[in-house]
Amino acid sequence: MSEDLAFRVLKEGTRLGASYVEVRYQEGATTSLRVRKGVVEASSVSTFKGMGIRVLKEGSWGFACLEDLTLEKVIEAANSAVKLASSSSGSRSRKAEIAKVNPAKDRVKTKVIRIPSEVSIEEKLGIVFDADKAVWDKGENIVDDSIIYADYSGKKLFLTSEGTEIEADEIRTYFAVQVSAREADRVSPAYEAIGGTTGFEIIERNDPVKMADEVASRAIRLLDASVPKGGFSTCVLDNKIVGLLVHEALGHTAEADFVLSGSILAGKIGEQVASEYVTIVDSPEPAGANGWMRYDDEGVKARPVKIVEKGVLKGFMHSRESAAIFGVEPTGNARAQSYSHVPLIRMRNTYMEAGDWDPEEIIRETREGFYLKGSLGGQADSNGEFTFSVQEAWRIDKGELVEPFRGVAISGSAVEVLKSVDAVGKDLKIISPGNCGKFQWVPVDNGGPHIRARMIVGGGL
Amino acid sequence: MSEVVEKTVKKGLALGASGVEAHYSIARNVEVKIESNEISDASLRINRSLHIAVFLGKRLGFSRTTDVSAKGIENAVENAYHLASSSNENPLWKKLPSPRPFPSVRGTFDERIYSFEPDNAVKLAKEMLSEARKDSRVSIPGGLVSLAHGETHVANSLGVLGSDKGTGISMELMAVAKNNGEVGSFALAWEASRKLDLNPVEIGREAATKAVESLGAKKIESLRGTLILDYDVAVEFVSALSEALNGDMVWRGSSPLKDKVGQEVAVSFFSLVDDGTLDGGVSTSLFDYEGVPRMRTILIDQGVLKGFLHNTYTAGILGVETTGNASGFLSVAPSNIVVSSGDWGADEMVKNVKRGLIVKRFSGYMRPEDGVVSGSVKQAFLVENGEVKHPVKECMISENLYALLKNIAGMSRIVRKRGQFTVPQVMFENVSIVG
Repeated sequence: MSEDLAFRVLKEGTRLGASYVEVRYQEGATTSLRVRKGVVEASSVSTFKGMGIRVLKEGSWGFACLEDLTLEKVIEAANSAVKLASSSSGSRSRKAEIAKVNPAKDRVKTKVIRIPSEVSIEEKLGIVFDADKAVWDKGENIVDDSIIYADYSGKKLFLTSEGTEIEADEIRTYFAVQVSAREADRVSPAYEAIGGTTGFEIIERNDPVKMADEVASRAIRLLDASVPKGGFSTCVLDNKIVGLLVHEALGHTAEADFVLSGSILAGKIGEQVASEYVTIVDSPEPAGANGWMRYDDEGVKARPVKIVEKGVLKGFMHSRESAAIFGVEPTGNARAQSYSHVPLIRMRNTYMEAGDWDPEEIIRETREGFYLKGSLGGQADSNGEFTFSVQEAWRIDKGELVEPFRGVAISGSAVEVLKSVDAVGKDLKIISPGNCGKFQWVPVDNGGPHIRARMIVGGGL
Repeated sequence: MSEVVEKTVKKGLALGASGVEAHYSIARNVEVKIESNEISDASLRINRSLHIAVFLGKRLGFSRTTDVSAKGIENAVENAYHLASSSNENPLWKKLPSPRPFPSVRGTFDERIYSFEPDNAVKLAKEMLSEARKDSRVSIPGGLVSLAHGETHVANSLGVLGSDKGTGISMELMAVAKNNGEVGSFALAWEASRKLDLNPVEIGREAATKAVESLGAKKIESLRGTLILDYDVAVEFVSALSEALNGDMVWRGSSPLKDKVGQEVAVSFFSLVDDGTLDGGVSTSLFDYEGVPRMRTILIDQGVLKGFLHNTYTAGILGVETTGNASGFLSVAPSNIVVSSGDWGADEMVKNVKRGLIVKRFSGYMRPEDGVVSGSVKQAFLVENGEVKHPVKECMISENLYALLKNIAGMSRIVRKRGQFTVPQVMFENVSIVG
């Protein structure tokens, strides 16, 4: 039924003079459970069905989406999309073109062992309750928690007027522990999550109770830590902060749409943008990662992009439109949050490749500085300047971790910081699950090994 | 369209629920996007969503669906019912709200937006873009013109029934300036309104001016001095504060203001109100998510904390009345936050500064749980002896939100509306700035 409607839309779009038409039909269901202090606060099932239609006409894009999927309404939407494309075509100085791709006909399935929708609500709730109990068992400093379980299963159908037909079954599973501890005026939040393009087995393979216990212990431990004085320092960064650095501070500046608007990496292919120890990749692999995919939302077969190789800028991430502008092959980085969104250039799984240092050796060989572990988020600009908040920190003195700190923020300019990298660990880890909110939310992952670099460390309340 | 919510409530009761709440929204949105100095695409979104809450005594289950056919509604009600029956009791849950008369509100619907042609949205985007691009150093990574109209229907099993409609427009533009190989800090200009009264040329000009003035930034030595938050940063400051005034954070014990009602929490010339009935307010409506009438709530009066924002759930837990701030099932959000104006002229503030910064953008975090304000200032300018000297780079501030509230040295006479926030510029003394 939905497939017939989608083909009718392709025909209508072409009849109205569009040079390219694509239709995305999606349906799916999300189950989510949230427990706090032994009580199910919010449990919900969300189901949706919808269609997004994108057309290219006279070098200009138009888009329409809807959930009322009757023949009359979808044909009306196709007409609106074409009309919108025509209305903006006159104002473009550069006509949009798309790089050629071979039309794909494929069926993609997420590999799972246990389909989450076949697991009973009672079993899912049991896991959430056990984790919640482990948090409150840690004592009176715990003031709040949220234990969240969520799974998604859905179907995506992607058709283009060029003949691409891709059907994808998607499954995701997610589990998170959020804890807040307090003593007098000091609060410390702590957070940990697991998840990805995987089934319920991810819950079974990890130990949610142990995870909850660890997050709660960390929140309590951090209550005693003090806040450091600010300044420029040598820092050893853990896998999570390296992940944030390669995604937020460097990755976004290597997205071709940002490059076109003059990001710090514009015109610098072939130039040194990091130290020789640094290689950074954005990849649709590995399977199970949150940013795993076979095809992007333009039907392009996804392939890895080597952004930086041994410190030299090698390439950017592309959609079909940006690939046509740059005269390169599209990379499969065009992604849309849902049928209700237009694809944008987005990262998938972005990480720094491993080096040859033992992570403990990096700390041992550091005379003075900070060891920074985990993050509570961050922001970065198109010129690569970033500010991240760090979860846990220690001062390093003559290779030893001597004093714990909390409330630390780091900042710097991505290129300067990456050029200062003088040690890269062997311990590459891709941290799942991440989320990126560049105008739309899409699942991504990022990661890397432990590294050492120089940057501004803030704090000092 | 209110029959969708009425049908949902009936269906839930027929299944044996002790209480049912339904919320249905439909929106039609035209968006014109700017990307890499071009109008990149124009879109039309027609979205709808039915949200259902089913109660079995104190057991709760929720569902959502985009399918509002009889079968779609039935499935969604069954999903919520099934979840409620699998849940345990939430002892904190008291009751659904009862029907109360809605206020009269003004300026929330503009016929010109309702009947707006997509072609005209493209025209607005074009005007904004070309104004910003008049200066050849300015490049536009992104921007958006968005026009929307929608309707909301709500019903519950105690007889609440309401329908409301509204319109809105928002325009935003990011700009970056480049000169002799230097890339400036990116600048953002934006406005939102319920009426078709935004000026695209002014927004384009503001983005470009901000981008260009951040060129030539210099590093400075660390200093202790005056900090002036321009409107956009004052919004972030007030937004973090309003999170701490959220009843949800209060009952959970994570707001430092939780036990401070009746106490002085800010300087005596600082007052803050949440007004869901504000004329033409971005968040003004007849009722909140639960169908409780919108109202005006004084939260901080001349420095003294008066109360918090609530929905029926958080109000029930804390034994107070709801303030009509439900934003979803069990969640609470501010409507329109209005901060009192001060008595300083804009130039007067700068003229008074011996040494300090005026900050137009902040990149970092302001954490309501403990008040930690930490991050880099962007679009920030060194002020010395009453004169703006030059933009600065790589400066960090780390302060405490609650200490800053008691340390406000002055606020501007002119307030500006930035989306749901109406704020003055805010000045602090004796702030540590790390260069």
